[in-house]
Amino acid sequence: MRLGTDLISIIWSRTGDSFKGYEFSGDVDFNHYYLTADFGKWERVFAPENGRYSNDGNYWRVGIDYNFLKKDPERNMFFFGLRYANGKFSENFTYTFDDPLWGSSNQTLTNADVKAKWMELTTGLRVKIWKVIWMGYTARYKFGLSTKGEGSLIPHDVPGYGRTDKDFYWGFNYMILVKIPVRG
Amino acid sequence: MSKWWVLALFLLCLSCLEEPDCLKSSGKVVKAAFIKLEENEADTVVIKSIAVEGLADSVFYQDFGTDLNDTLSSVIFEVNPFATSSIVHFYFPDDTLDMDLLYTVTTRFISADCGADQLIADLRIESTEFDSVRVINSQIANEAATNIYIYQ
Repeated sequence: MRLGTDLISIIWSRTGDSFKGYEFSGDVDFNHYYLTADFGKWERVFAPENGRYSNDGNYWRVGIDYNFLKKDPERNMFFFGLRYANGKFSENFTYTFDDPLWGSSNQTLTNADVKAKWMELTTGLRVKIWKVIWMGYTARYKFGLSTKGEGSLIPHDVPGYGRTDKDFYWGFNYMILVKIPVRG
Repeated sequence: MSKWWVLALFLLCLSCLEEPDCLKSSGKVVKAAFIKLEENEADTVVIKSIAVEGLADSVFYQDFGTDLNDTLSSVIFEVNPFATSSIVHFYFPDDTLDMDLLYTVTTRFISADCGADQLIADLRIESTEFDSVRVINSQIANEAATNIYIYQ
């Protein structure tokens, strides 16, 4: 069993103003099939000229990866996989609309408890770099997003998925994982 | 082999940098057409003006003709995008008839650069003083399609 975290989320949280978040991941080897689970938290802030958008939520994924490197004693991986993902988040949007006929209106809109689900096709690499430590990336093709629980604000950004106006979306993680000895 | 992985990563990064289109789809114009009840054909009426409650001035949008007291087969007017209902007054030479419209307004945040827009849909008639009206298209666009038939 290996447990790890996404380095991109950590770096992005510390260097950018619009994103705060983290993601943990774990996998268990079942003879070239890896049972995989992720958990993440995601906050975003955008500041358009006339307002402010923010969201806050968490998500999890479960799925299976298949390792094509069958005879590697280091348990390096070149894998393809499938994930089911599920998220829960809130959004707040304050904006001043200017209409040439009806004037301006300052509106505050909130989605308090939105649930989302989607699927992901994944591929990536894991390379052993030292004794119990692996590093590598996971590329994600996210699709089939559906949300429920929204009000008069159309969900804009789903934690773990991204913008909702796309039928599919790419994601990318750079992972560092530590092997946890488990005797079966 | 490794150069292909570098290329794949580069393409992935490019896809992440894609910005949304600043395409706003706001539409708040309702088109009402006058129809002969028995023949179910386009009718023409003489109309002085149209006013939508909430606006300081009367608003008069029309399909053709430029003068008040014109003979028209349809009229267009804007509903209030900051509310979910609008009362419309139709001023005819000898009468004034009202129509109370309901609709939903949803807000879409596009991006920090593009801002937001409002989508008005699910047009319904709450009440009216016309004898017979029917919503034939509940999606509100910009003058493209007729939304309401007013039977005379």
